[in-house]
Amino acid sequence: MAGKFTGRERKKPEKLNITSLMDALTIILIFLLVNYSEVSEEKEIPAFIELPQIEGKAATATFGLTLVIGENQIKVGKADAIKFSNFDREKDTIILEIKDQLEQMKKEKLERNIAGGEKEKKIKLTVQADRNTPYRYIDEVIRGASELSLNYVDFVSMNKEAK
Amino acid sequence: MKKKKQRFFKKEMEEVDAILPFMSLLIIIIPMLLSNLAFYHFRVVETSVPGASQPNPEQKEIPKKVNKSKLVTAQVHIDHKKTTLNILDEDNGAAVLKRKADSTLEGATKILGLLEKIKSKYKKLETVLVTTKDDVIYEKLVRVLEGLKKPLLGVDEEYPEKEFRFKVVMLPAVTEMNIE
Repeated sequence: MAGKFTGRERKKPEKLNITSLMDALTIILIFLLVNYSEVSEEKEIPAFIELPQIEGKAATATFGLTLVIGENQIKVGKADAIKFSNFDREKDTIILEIKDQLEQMKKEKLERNIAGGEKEKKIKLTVQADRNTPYRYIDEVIRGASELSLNYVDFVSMNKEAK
Repeated sequence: MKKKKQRFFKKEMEEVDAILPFMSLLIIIIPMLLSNLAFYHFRVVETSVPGASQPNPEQKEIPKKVNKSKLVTAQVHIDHKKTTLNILDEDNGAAVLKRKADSTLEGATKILGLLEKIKSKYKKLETVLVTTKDDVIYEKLVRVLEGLKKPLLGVDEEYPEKEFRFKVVMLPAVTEMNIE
């Protein structure tokens, strides 16, 4: 009788084919190994800034004391952001606060370096600013930092893969 | 028939058993790599600001060497539209060269080409002093600096494969500047 199953029909043994799964996992593994980040410390881009993108070869970036400059707030390291409504009017207070936080960070960094047995290297200031930030904000901040002997400034942008 | 079926399953299980260690390894490695995956890469332009250093009283005064070779200073001014390169004679402050290019990565690359030519004539030129107009946005500044900091090859005659990058010193921002 057509379409009727009988108990005597033999079931084919089910075979688990894992070859395709292995292929997929191997591809994923290669992709992940290629994109593996060697930076031990995770660096996030704060939500209040949009970094400029520049085409070219990616290079390893090392971070010093991080300073994030946005349109209406500045963040020094992991401290709370310093908010402002008019930079030009409030710059003296802002710079004073930034200098305090930078001094603290510099001290901690030096202590960490000594504890880690590292020789005292130059401490860099790493500036991440919103792409539309006027240079006068950055200038005021780096002048303030140079008074704390932070004379090396790195400007950060995001790498855009060259086509 | 039953024996045949058993043999088939046995063979199948052996195959799976052989791959199991590799599967376990992948299961460990993949989440570990995923956690360190870089979704973006940063670029960094290294600069410095002029720092005032205190003179060391214990240090003996070193007699200045008489420099016979001519020295020049390279100044770059970044504006909204144009980037200006000024090469000044260190003896008398006279302008040796003045060129303008767009305030873009391409414009800065052109300026770098000029600097490379000047460097071949004035070997001691290693630093570029950069002044920026105070309302130039960060994106423009970074693009120009990226152009100026591109590596040059063949600058060192002894080691032509050695990369050379100009040192960039950021001078205070200018509000208005007559560069003509």
